[in-house]
Amino acid sequence: MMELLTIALPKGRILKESLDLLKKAGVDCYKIDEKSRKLIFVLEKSNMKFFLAKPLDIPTYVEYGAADLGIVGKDILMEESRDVYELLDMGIGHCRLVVAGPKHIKEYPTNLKIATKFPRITENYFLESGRQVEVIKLNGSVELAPMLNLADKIVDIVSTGVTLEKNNLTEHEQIAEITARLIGNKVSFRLKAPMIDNLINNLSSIIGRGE
Amino acid sequence: MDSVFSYKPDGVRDFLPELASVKREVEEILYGVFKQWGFEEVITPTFEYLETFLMGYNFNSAEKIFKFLDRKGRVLALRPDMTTPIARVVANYYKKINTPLRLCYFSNVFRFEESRGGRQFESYQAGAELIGVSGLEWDAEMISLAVESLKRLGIKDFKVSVGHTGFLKGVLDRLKDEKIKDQIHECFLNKDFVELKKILDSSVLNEDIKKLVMNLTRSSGNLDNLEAYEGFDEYKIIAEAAAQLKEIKQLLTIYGVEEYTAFDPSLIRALDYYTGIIFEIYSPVIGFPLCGGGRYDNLIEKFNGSYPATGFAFNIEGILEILGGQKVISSKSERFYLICYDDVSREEAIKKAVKLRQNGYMTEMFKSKNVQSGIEYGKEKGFNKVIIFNNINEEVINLNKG
Repeated sequence: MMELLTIALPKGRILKESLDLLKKAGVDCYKIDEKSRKLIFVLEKSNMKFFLAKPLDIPTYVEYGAADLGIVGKDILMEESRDVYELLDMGIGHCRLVVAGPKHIKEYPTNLKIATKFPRITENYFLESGRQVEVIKLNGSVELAPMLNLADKIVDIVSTGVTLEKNNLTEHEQIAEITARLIGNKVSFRLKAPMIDNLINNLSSIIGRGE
Repeated sequence: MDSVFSYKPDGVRDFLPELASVKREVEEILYGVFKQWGFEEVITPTFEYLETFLMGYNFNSAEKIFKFLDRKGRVLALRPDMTTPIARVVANYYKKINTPLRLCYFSNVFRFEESRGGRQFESYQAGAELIGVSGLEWDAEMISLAVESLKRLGIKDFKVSVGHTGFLKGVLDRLKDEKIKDQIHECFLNKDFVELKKILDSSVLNEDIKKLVMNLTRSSGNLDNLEAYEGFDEYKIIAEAAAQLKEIKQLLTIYGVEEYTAFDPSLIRALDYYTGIIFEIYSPVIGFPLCGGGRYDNLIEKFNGSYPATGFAFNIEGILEILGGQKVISSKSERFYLICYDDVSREEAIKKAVKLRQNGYMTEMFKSKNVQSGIEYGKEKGFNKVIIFNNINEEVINLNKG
């Protein structure tokens, strides 16, 4: 029996786009459906095994070799800084990581308080530009923090900007452009090189076509 | 009341007898192989000056070192690896080496890992270093020794990726723009091929160099491509690296280990440390390399000695995980006599034990009036024979099946 290539897929926002891309790349992954509540899908024909996991956990699965490959947003890779190969820009899940603050405020205090789901990225970003800030880690609805005077600004993911707008926030600085990435385990990258190279080639020819 | 202080801290682990005995066996087998190849063990202190370790490291890894102060306020550090202490030992004690110096070690190392989840701060390594000689046959000896060691441990499914620092160095050397050079180097260290491609796409580098750079992002390498660079002065470093790999391939064939090895241009290990052939060993069972090493000709120089050197270190936990707690040699650790006695027969029992041990038998004492409980304990622990003292009567019960 040939060994399976195990791929971790992120539940939620970028799952559908990821599956569409995989299908176009010739991977027969029609069975995979988040609603089915099944977590592991074996595709014997393609010699692949897929599983669904929380996006934040995907770099961990890949680093430890529980998955050979994984698809995950660059934001999470930056925050987690795991020892994995970043193989391909999937060109999906476009969004931006930005610093935003209340619209009408012109002057901010020198010792800024920043609320975010991404404490490590935030700290590094401000440190690199020589600014010291106090980072407040939140787990969601970060936009609330300035309104409730918990923080002066936020660092968060923005895709359309509607959420910022609705909460009277405006973008101040862009930290990074975010897309989903294909990541690989250090050992799998070598022991399963033919399978991985093949998938990368198929995916990149599609992504190149102007997805 | 439960207090955290009645447990061990995060990031370190206990080895209970079952695992500890396998670890001991693994190390004994490795020591046996190392000795057979002429390597002698050295033991260095668990902590040294922080500065000593920093001589061997780039600034980035300093964060990963556990530090503390001595009474004079100098910074000491728990050893984060063994190669640096060995380089220091060689520089301190071996002023003149005429023949190759072969040293090996078995020791714990300490590294602070920020994103942990299962990764330990304290880990165990077994390694070998060959000092005082340069030349590919010595690199080949080290790779072959690593392969032989794994085979002796009964591990067959593994692959050795052999690379060379010259590929990355040669590519970086061709880049005139210092900024792009640093960016590309960083991409390789971070294994970020997405960013790498972006930098290349937006740069004005010629296609030849772009192709060379991308060549380093694929693990299944082809040496023939690289030979094309032979004879061109600007590609001297790369051509030299390719030629060395070709030669070491022949040497590995002579050693009979070529079936385990493959050329891998994507193999990158820290450039400020390694200076030639580098290698890592992978098993499909674990997600981390179980061995890594290579040539480091400039390290000992930093301690005022000047010797070329090459070496490797096995990750002992990785080997234990592959073996899955299996005993490597089962006969050696077999139990033997259990002596079951009570207060009345104490003197006779102890005398018996002393005699048996003098005769080389493993003997364990079990005090109980209940003969049955002694037999049960003996069975559970795998003893061959139980000697039961009843008053001064001695009865031997054979627990071996069949």
